[in-house]
Amino acid sequence: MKHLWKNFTFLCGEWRKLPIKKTAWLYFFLYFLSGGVVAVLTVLVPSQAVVSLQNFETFLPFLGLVAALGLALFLQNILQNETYMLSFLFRLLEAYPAAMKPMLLPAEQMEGPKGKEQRNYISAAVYWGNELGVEGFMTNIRDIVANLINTLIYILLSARLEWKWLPLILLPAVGQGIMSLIFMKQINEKNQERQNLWAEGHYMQSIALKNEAAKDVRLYPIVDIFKKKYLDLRKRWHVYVSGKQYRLFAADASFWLLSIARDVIVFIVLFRRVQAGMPVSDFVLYMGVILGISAYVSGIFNKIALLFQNNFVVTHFREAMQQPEYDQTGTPGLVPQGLGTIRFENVSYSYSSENENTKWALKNINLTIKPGEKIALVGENGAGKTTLVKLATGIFTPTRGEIYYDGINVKEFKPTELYKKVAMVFQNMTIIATTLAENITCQPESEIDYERLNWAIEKAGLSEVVARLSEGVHSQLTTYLHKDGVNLSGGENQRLMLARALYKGGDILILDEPTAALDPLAEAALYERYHELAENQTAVFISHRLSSTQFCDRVVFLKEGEIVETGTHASLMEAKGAYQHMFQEQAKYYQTEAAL
Amino acid sequence: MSQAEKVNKASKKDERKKAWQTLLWVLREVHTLKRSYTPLVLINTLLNLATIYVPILLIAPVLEGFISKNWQKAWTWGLTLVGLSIALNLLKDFLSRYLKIQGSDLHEAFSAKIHEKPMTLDYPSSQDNDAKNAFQRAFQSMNYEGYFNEFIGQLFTLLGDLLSLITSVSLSAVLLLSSPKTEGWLSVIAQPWLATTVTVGLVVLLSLLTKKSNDQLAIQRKRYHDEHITVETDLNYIVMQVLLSHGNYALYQVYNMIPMIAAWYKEKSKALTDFLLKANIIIKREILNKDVSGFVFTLMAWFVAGVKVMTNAVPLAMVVTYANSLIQVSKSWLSFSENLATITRRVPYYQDIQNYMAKENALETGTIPVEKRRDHEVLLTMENVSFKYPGSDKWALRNVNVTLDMKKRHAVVGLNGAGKTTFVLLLCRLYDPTEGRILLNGVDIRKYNYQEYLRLFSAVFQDFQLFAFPVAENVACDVDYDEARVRACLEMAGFSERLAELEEEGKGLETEVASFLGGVMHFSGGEQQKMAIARALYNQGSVMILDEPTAALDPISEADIYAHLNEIIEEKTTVFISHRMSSCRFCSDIIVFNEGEIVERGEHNSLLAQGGLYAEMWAAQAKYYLEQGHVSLVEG
Repeated sequence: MKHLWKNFTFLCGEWRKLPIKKTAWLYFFLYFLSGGVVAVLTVLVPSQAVVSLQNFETFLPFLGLVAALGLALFLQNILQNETYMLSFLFRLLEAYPAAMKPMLLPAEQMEGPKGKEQRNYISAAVYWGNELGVEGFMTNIRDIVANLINTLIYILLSARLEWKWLPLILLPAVGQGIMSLIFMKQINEKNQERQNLWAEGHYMQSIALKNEAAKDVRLYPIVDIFKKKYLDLRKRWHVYVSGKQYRLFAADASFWLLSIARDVIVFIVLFRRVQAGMPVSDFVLYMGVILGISAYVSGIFNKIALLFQNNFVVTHFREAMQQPEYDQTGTPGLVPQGLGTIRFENVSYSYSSENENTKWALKNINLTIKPGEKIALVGENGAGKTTLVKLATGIFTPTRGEIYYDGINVKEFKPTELYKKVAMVFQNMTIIATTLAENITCQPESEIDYERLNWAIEKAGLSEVVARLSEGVHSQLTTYLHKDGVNLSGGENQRLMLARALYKGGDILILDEPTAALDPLAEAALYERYHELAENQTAVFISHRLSSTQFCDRVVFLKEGEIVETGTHASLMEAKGAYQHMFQEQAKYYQTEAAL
Repeated sequence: MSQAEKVNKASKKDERKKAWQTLLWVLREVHTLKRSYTPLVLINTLLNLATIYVPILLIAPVLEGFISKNWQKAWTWGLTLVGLSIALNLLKDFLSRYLKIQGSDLHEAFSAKIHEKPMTLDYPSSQDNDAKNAFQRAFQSMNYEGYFNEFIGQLFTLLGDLLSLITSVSLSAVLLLSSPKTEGWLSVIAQPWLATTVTVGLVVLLSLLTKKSNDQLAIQRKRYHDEHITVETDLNYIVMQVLLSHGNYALYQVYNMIPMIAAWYKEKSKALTDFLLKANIIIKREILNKDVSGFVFTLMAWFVAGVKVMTNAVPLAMVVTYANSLIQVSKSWLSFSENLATITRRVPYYQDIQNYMAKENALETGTIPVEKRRDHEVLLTMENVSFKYPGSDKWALRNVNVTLDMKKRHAVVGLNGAGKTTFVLLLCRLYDPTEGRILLNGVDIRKYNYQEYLRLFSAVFQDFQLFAFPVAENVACDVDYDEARVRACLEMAGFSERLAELEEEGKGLETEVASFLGGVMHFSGGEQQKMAIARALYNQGSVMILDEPTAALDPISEADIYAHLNEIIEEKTTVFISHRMSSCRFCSDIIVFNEGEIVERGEHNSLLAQGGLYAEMWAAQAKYYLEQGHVSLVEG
């Protein structure tokens, strides 16, 4: 609840930044105004009907009143639509900075569990429809304010009759309010659960459509387990929804029951007044007003329930949006000079926050990589190779210890400056539904250096593939957005990843399993060219195919987060340590003659 | 009638017939998924009607009582009005909340049902983006136009409008047909025939005008909707797969892809907002039509009611009732037209879904049962098989003739794109050959029961997927799993150590492999591969397919798997695809593919001796592992 005001001011701030007409507030104001007029006239018209049918002279003004009501209703409807559209537009336009935000936050944070949650909240805030998120929030506030204004008008009208009745009139509303607050707390505790249920549902739905899952889904009884899981999810949804609705009904019921008491009392009093000479028209008016207050107040509480739900989402959304971007650290203008020495000093890294049971991915790493050196990073699965590389490139920051680039602590540099120096090929293939040229160069068409692009394609061994495509480098990749898009094979994609790194250039080249999908001939071709590709660069090569280490100046062997051996391939083979053992495990199949 | 007109008329008739069929289909689906829903909506509709008409009707005797100073009458009817209003509202409130619960259940039930469908269709359709887009569009339409619960709600609102119309017309008829009892020019207007003609005429005129306008708007709306869905689907891809997807943020930042992606998103987003603004104009016109009609009619209603009262055709106390009845005539009629138009507009989207749900699995062509044989006597043969991927001109496989000896280990090797994976996909019958046929124990595989045939295979593909379920459920592909068997399979796959770690952490076999928010949690690529192998083992198929089974494994884990190969494979017919030539050492039969054809076949030493493609690939990889003094190639 305390976040409500902060959220409101935050969203207003966001609204102002967007290209929505400046007069938007006027539409809202006029909507409230027309609503008030409608509220007054809705009770006035029936009350005047009885009185003004004495003769034609009083009849015409009455018709005027009816016309005024019609006009006011028309305005109210138009303005309701306009304000609804403005909120809708707000959500659509806000979706742009919202969706961009995860890309601008530190990658380290975004890859972790907190990052995933934040993405989920951002999604909920701008992508889950008109009722939920930032749009729902604004619309709820609009409705609550409108109802509040109308309630106040009615209260004033009824006070004209007898202001001492105010507490009585408000009694049902207060009753409902108290019940609502009690239940609201319970309902709000379930807000996170709702988010989780949504996320689970979305996930289940995505399995059904995921291209890569299609084989496994058919060869294994995945459909059966999907059914069971979804059924379980549905049961839990039912529990959530019914719990919420029953509680809301309990609040409503208290309102209605108290209303009977109030309405009967009011009726009796008004009845006596009419008996004592009050005009019938006044009776009709006040009955209308008091019944109307019920409707408006009830509306307020209904909307408040929705508002709380949206408030929850917007709070998390705001927190995500107010996070500092990845490029906020470091000294502006400080540029790492040329090929520098990379030095790790007592670096340790943990994916979770530090405590007694911290699981260290890397422990006390001390490593110096000379400029232009080609390092092979090897070790068992989970030894920490990828983690080390992410630290070297500035994507991760050490939990303990320091990293120096050319003598300057890496933290002094702005991440963008560091990233300019780095090109990498990671294990997961990332192709987006745009042209081959754009996928390789990562730049819009207008910025592409075609000469360099062709050079990168040739060096990566992609020339034949490009020649085969009818549109060459302008071919659309994947069929997500273009029906006649091209889907490259695993090996071709891997070469594309390499071309991307080559095009970028830079001083540091990271290759993480770049030959995993390549056939032996293509792999050999890559090794032959390795020095040529990484000629003026410091390179780190991670691979499980230990044949690759011979092209590197030095091998660094990681085991359970620590460096256990380092040296040239030849020297480590002589040392007969962990490296030699691992190498033999792989080499033996190529060395013995007999079949195994 | 011209030929073209006849055809047009026939197709319109056909359209209407299909629309009715779709409507009935929706009602049947709702009945299957939630029997109580439709009756509840009906009750809700009637209740809504009651809440409108009870006050309208009951106000009259109350006013009558006050006007004629019949205090008893005013008192009893007044209290009845108050009590009944509250009671109806309370009931309405409860029912609407109860309906929300039922509606949510219905929504989720259908969501589950519709999402099961793509998984039960044949594999080629899962890779066909046209089919996927058809599904996406149908699903997006439902999100935008409303699910079944909303559709049913609308059907019954339509019914309610009709009933409301009947009620209000009946009441209004009493008003219109009443005769004035005074003299003067007012009484002329109040004459039944004049009042009725003018009223009816106005209703007809307004309806015609608004219908014409609304029809035009409906056409525009449909056009915008279709455009909108396309843009929305595109935008959905960018958002879900690029902006909010897990695992690529480092890439986007390091490669400075953000400006490119931002420009891309902005372009699509602008298209969407442009659409919205255009659609808004239509909505504003619709509101204009509705409110102008309403305005004119309301004015006329009070006028007629007032005149009738002033000429004593009807008592004063009834003025509010009659005026509101007349107003309700126009309201119900407008609501009815609007709802009918909306339902008509939505029918095509439900038809899309109906058609999608009626699709069948093209590969379910056979009925012969496939027994899971304990002796694993499974002989697979390809007879002159050729294959082109759907939509491609290139032969992925050409004239493949091969028999896989039972219980033997076969390696399938070749350069990238040679057809290795395609070969295996045809073997599993995820695709059917374009030419030629595949036999299992001498019988064309198309004759076998499809689901049972699939279960013959225990496969680990290169792009295997694990799901956001516990480890054991991923291995067993079931919620109720045989724990002993799960453990045995994990052990054979080399996962025991990691499992012990998980048990120390607390959850053991119940540890979640991935989260619903995306991304596998704390399992490395190698550990995931071991779980996939365990899953294949649990399946106990007679044919094992291992497509790059050690690609993500470090040399120690790889050697571990090879060491356990005998336990893993036992007596099953195995097909290995690997770029790591070392795996060929475990196979008694090596099949070499090149450009879709089998070019070499034999066992390791004889192929080396041949000096062909196999020998070339072997040498290319082996040379890096050889040190001085080691001989690897067979002499001679």
